[in-house]
Amino acid sequence: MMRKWTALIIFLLLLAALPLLGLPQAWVLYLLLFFVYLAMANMWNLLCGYSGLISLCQPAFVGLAGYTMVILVWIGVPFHAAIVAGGVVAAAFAILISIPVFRLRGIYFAIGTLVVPEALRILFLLWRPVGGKLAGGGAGYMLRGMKGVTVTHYYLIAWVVGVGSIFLMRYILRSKLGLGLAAIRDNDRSAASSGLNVFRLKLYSFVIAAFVTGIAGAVFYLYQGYIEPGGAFSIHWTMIPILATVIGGISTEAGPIIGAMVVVFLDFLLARYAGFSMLIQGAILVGIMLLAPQGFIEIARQIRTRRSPIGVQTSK
Amino acid sequence: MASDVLLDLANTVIMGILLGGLYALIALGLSLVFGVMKMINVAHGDLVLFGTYFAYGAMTCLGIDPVVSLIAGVPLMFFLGFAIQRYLMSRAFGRSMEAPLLIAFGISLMLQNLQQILWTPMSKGLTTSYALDSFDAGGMHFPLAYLLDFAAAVVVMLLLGQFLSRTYLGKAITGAAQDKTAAQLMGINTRRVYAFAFAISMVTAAFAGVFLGLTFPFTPQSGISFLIIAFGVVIVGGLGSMLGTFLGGMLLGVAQTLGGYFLGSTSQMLVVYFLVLVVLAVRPQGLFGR
Amino acid sequence: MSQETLLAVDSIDVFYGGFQALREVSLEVRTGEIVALVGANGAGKSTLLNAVSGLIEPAKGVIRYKGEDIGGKDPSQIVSRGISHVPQGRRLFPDMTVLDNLMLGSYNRNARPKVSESLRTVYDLFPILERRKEQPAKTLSGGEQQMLALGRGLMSNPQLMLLDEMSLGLAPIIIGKVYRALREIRKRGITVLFVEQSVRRSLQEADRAYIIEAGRVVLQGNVSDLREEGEIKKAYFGI
Repeated sequence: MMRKWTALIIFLLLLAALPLLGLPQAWVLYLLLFFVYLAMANMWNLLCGYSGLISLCQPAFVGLAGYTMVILVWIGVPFHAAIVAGGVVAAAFAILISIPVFRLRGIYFAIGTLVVPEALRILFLLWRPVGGKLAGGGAGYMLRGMKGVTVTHYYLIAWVVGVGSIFLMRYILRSKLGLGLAAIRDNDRSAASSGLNVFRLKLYSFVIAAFVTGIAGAVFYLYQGYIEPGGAFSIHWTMIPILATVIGGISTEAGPIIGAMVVVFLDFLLARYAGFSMLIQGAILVGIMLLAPQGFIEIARQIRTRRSPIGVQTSK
Repeated sequence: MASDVLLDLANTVIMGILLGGLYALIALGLSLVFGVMKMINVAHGDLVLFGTYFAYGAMTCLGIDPVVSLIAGVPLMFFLGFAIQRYLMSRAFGRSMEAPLLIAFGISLMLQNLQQILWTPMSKGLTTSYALDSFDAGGMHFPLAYLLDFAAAVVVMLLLGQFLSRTYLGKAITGAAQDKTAAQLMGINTRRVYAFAFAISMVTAAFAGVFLGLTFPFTPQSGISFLIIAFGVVIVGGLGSMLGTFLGGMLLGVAQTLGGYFLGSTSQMLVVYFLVLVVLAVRPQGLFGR
Repeated sequence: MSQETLLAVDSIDVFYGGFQALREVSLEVRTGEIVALVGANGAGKSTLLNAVSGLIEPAKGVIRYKGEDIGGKDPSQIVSRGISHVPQGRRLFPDMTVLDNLMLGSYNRNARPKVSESLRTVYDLFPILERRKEQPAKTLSGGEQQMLALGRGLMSNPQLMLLDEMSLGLAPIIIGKVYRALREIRKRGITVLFVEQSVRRSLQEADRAYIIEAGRVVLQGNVSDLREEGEIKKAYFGI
């Protein structure tokens, strides 16, 4: 196991160095996307795979953090600080909505979290805190004041976020929080009766996920250069982490890593068919859930050990 | 003039009530599936929208009136629903709590993209001659579409109610919703019954889709707001009673029209969403639920 | 009374997840008999009935009904073959009327043509059900609910009835009524396998009995023989 992680770390360091070694910009951008997706996938895995929270709220975090960053940069705040501020705003928002939303369980929680980004989308269509009216009456912003910042710089920030998320997950899962979450995931009520503060544990998870997802989103908008409500709060930001996590293997540490690679690769393959991307992603999601719901990690394990799953008798 | 304002308000409220009928109709399918299979179909909104676009296709390509197109739309949606439950969702049930949700999510996104490809992201409407008509009564002004929606909702709900309480299959569905194990012991094949329930849910969605299209403009992204409305109605009205669904629909409808009256039309959905979140937080079993 | 074997359970193991509820349990019910399955809470009696009616599949062993292997079949298929399971706690459809509950009992295609006939039979056995036929099932008293559950079980036109803890939560007078109904059912040619916690009641009503403890059959035989058994005498006075 140690050897695998050492290999991974070396690989990641190499990835960091790539743009300096002259990798073409297009590739660098795809790698940037990979790290963004990786962070988001890890966070969704934290919520759904480890905390039992089926969150459809990601677009809210992404959009809020993105807008925070763009607006702060617009008024002159240095962009590193702006990115962090974005994460903080997303985290604060998570705390705010946890009050109504955590009373819900399972599917109610999922739909409750679905409402939030949708409401924000409309809000940001109406609200324009800085800058004058856009010519066509739209509601987006261009990213200002980023002259002289190289793509390599963006890439390294993304690298930090993505790799950071891996180590964050490692740390959380081995901490007290992680053990508490494992208890909750399996059974909410029995965990509560054994003295765990279920609400607080879920809250920690939710806030951490909001923060990191927000930062990853802010980084994305750094790269894209403009933001508008439709894209910022789009369900796309839920689909990507779900797809990545499910493909790779939910509730596993390596799953999101593999999944994010696959999803970015898919993006690359489908670049010409941009109009069909969600159709194909949706089809893949359905297919995987039906055929290989445990994801790639599980399939790999089964092939390696050449064992067929032991049938367990279940009632109908 | 106070009386003018009062009349305006009354107008707005009544429009909200009529709109509520439509909302109840949208929620009907979601409520049925939830009651029987204890599953919230997150693809419901997009499936309703599918019905809308089908009617749109019939209208623009074949010149058929949307309501008439239901003759084809209803069987289509029936079989679609049957297939989705029988071959997709049923496989996901045993696995985990997330699985049916994620599959429905995938279907939802596929539909959104499909509609975008077929019909462009531009906003469309089922603009028949009567859809734009309005009429006056008692000094108040009503779009004809709202009245049609309400009438359609009442008819569909009555029919569904009769089906569930008088036919053997309807009783089996009701029974399976109340106690799955007991139903199995009656010799009811719950797998098939679930598929029928989903199929019927899609039939109501077909109706909802057509009347939605007659009333509001729609884009491929509208599915989410339909889902939230349907979910809101089910939550507010409580589960298990058609009356509750109807009342829930009307409450949300009035909230929307009043929101539009006071805050402007772009913000009207915000009022609805806010209400849904509040009810979710305060009384998840609904205002009229058990 | 025919001595043909109607139901043969052969050495079955049943698991709930990791927990083994039944170990190598074998049991036989012959046509026309009333057989009792006795044991304390959690001994596995209900599990056995659930395995026969198809709610759970045995991990090992065979269940034969009229010679046919029914292990692992869907409950809906088993009901149409003539087995009716009245589950523990009755599991009526609470918000449906008495009549609807009964009608659903005849849902399977073999019973449906005979609905009116079956309904008449049930009303004759339990006149109170006819009087309350438009009432929701949840408004009935405990005893009436048990009769409804029995009646519903009869509606599927069964040859074998599996009755799980009919006396649960009922006053002794009512229990007496219920078991009198059981004898009527037997008179109509239906074979019965019932589950009971009370040893005394079981020995009173059944022809043969199986005693189950912790998932195993520990004692079995004709009721007259069992009455002499030392263990039973203890339990007889104990329970």
